[in-house]
Amino acid sequence: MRAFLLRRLLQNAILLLFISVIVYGILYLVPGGPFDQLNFGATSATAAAAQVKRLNELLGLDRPLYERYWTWLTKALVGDWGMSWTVAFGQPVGRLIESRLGNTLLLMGLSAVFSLAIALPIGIISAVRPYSIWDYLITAFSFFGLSMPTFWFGVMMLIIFSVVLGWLPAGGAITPGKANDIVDRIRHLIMPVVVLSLVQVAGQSRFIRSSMLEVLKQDYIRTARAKGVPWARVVLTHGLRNAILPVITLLGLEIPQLFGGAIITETIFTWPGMGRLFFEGISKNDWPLVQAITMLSAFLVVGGNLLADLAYAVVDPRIRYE
Amino acid sequence: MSASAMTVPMPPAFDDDVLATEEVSQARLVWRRFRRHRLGLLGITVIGMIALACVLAPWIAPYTFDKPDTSNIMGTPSASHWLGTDELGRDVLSRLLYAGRISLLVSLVATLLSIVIGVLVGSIAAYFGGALDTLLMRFTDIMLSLPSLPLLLIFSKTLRDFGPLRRALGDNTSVVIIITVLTIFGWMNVARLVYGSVLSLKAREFTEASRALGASSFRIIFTHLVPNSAAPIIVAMTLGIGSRIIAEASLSFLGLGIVPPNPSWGSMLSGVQAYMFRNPWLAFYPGLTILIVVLAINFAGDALRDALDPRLKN
Repeated sequence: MRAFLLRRLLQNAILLLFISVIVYGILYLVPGGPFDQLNFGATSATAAAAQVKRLNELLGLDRPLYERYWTWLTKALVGDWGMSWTVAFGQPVGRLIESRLGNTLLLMGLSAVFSLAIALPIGIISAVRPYSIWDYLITAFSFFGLSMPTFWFGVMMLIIFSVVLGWLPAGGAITPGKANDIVDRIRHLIMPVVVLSLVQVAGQSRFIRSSMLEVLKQDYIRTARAKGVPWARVVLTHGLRNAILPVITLLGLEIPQLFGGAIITETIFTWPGMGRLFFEGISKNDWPLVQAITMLSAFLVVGGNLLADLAYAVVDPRIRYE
Repeated sequence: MSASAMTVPMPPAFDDDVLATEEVSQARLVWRRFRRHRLGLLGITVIGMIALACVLAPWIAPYTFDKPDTSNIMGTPSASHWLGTDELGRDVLSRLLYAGRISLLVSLVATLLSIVIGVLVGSIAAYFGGALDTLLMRFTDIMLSLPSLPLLLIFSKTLRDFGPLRRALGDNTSVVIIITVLTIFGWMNVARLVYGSVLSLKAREFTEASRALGASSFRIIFTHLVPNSAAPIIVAMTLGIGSRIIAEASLSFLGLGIVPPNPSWGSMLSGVQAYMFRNPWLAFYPGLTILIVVLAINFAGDALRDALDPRLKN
């Protein structure tokens, strides 16, 4: 078990390193970039070029790429992610992210839990009663969920629940003055979480359904039934435990999707999180901020995969002895 | 043994006609199986109609997509504007049609390009094996584990700010950029599918036979192995168009996809939040169109998956 863990950790660390190289490369090698469109009010092309050169020197962008990457990496590993250029000029990026990280993690975490809480039961029902009316309804629902553009769903929910009905607040995480009111916070959370979970529920329920169907065909299920074990226990104890394995991997793979969805959801609901910060950074060409958040999301991705691997090893003893 | 008087009657002489059955091509078989899925049929009908309407937009749209009519801002649906007007007085229906041309074109081209790249990478990796295989597939895995939306946004923004590109392409810059960006992050799934398929086909006898007959590797891969992997590729392509439509719409919604003056279903939704309180219906139609189109594609793709290989069904 320990060898397995160590091996996985090492693999993931290397993966993370690779990703950091790629991300850094993308940011600085793709033609274009933060300064191409600025002209500093300069009167001629040469004057503008001189300004760009000065900026480059100031921000250390004129040194060779590998040197820049190395500086960035060594600093990042100790926690210094640089200074924000435009979003909050001069402020250390780390502090900016810190203030928003919790909000995004809350949103992503709640969505993951919520989506699983819905997908599991409906996936199981769908598998236990295939081709019934429930199955058709659930399949139709998951088709809908997979085809729905999240931003539209979010805007529609906003319109229905905030504008027309006025039941839920239109955005933000708290109402000023009520920062500690749990009910208020929940009211602010409901719509973003539901919107973020929709696509996840759709995909997960289909997956759970097919996984359960596979498992329920197995001989040991038949044996259990023949032995007289009540159907509910067969399904939940024997069936679900075996069907859940691929779902765990799926969960790990959904973390990058959750983060991408969070970017859009946070923008729609003006949720004070990392997604919106990222978007602001991109719009305002704030490269250190963008870099840091991208690396953070890559970290989340790799971390999610690692967790999924671990969970898989815990749940499936066969893996541990590879 | 007594010679029995019973003799076996001779079978009647038969012509070939009696035994001959209708020759049915693979395509017809697939179509027959596809026909049985009513939802799939509904899907392709809907897509067909919408695609046709969008292609014919310059001829059938009542207005052009950028003709402002300041006397009729945010009008509700009426006889002259079937779906109302937006915040600049432009006709929503016409904009939907024109936007559809671009959105569908972008998704189609991006999917086709992704497939080309994916097939190349997957088949070469699977056929030649060894170091090339490990290199290519590792690269594919790394690309797959990259967080896609953040990188899509970054790419779009940097390319957009690239002066020479913008000067060369003018108004169509955003379209080219988004096709490029969607392709770069979309070929991996196809590559994996093709990899798996070619790997298993490589071991079959017909490959060995081709090699024995002296066929070059190139020929074997692209005339035999890849076409036999067509089924999952086609399904991936169909579903891929749907997911790219949503991706393009999301990017346009955030302002980093297709920008004005080119209309897009996603960007038609972006300014909406400011006007949400005055005219909520503006947000409804573009998103509904996306939903209908992608839903139709998903139905058709699902039916296609069953039709192409009934064994795939659980």
